[in-house]
Amino acid sequence: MLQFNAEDFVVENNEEQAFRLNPRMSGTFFLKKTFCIVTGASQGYGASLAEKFASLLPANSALLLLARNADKLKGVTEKIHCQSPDVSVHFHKFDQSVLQECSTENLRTIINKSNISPSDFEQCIIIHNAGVIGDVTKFTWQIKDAEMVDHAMKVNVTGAILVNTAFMECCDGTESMAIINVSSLAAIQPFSSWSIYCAGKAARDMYFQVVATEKEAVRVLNWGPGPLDTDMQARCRECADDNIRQYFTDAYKQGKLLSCEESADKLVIVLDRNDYKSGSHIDVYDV
Amino acid sequence: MSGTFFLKKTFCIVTGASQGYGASLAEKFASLLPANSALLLLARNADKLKGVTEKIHCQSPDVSVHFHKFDQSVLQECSTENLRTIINKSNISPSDFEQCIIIHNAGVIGDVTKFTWQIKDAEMVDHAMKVNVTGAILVNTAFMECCDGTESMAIINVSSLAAIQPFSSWSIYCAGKAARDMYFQVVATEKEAVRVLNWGPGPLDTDMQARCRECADDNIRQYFTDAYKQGKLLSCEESADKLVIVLDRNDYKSGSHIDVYDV
Repeated sequence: MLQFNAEDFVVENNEEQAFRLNPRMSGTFFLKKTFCIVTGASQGYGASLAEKFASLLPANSALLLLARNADKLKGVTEKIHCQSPDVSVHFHKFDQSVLQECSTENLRTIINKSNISPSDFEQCIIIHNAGVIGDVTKFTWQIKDAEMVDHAMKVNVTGAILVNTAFMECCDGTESMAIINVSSLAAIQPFSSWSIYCAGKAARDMYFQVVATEKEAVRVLNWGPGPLDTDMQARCRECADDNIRQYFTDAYKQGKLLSCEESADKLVIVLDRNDYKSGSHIDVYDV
Repeated sequence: MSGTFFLKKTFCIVTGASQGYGASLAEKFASLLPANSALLLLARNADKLKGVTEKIHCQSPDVSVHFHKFDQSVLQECSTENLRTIINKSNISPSDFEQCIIIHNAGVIGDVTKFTWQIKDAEMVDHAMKVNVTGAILVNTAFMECCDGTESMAIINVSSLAAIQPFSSWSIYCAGKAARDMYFQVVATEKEAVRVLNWGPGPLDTDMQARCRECADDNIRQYFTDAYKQGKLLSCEESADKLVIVLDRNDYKSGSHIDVYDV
């Protein structure tokens, strides 16, 4: 398992510039002054990705962390600020299930409040990480909670679609643009008792494939991060399907779940290599 | 036809049955199912539904046909309680039948005049997801509950090539269709006894297709405009005939996606 500790390889070249020598990273993705938005960044994978990207991106890059829990976001922001002081980190309360919050107008307002000007950057990225699991304690014939399904579709699909438009509009004209959809094996394989989560993930993968089809200049990745040791995974260990519940419970007990950091490292490799076909689905175990 | 699908006394629900493919499927099934089968046609336009019902009644008088106004974007209408009420109003008792089927045909195209970076209409996206995905999911639960215990159960999702292949300027439609296919694959995974089919009916000559001929992507717009002019679109009836073959053979793996051109 490749582990990056970028700070081990930072070489102070002169007063203005530090360049990173990393024998395992040879691409340009993490060399560009970048504005990076992460949704669902208050904990779990989103927080991990934010930390990882902040540690690798060049000085004067900017991160914008969005999530419902402002207190947790503040904690993540402060942690990143300590670890990666040369990258500016901002956060804003954001609920992707509230569609008006997903508008270009709202994103622009948030970006302006952070004194960020997307045109100052060589690269703009969005990591679509925010998501909910729906209700994995229900088989399809038990799914009667309209509110639950509607909410899950709003967060996982509709909200993500609108936020993506907002991102593309706010960052229009940037030299390099990349869109990372935190996907799942559940996007491409049906899982008993996970119908809502599977459906939403499948919708996202397809939506982002269309983005890739329409905009060849934008790098679009449907990223399957693997079974992560997070709060969401803990919900999977309570799912209605006996086999799946057992599988993940065993995996958890045997320490076979991936840490967010391990998985983030693999995503970094993929982005650094930058040889994936835009719109493709890549799983952590493919790397 | 050598199978048993169309020999069983059947209760068949069709959503979006007021026109286009839904109406065609209703007519086709009514003409093939045995006497005393029952059809329940659901759609937003009660007048059109009435017309379809009367037409079927003339063509297939030994099958009872009922209709009810229904808007799949209104999630409360998709509940088991509401479906049970509608079924009761039609004096239908699902347990009287050897087979219960639902054809999930109701759907909207979203807005194919917009590329992804132009999609800002939250109402439009939300409505499309409600009809195409959330509503269909809830109606499917309602169907499974109302028809629980029936000997044979079949679920047909009117899918699309758009469910399995990205089409420029069709992001909302593609996303919804992909979500549906996956949802129905999970149903198939969970309930082996239920026959579940994700059916790609092909490019049909319907009102929905006409919207595709106005889509923002030049190549796709041209492709379908040419197909239309050259009479290469499928009639709903031709496509319905192919679905009948698949159901009659009944050898498809439950949950699979079958396209009309595979038949």
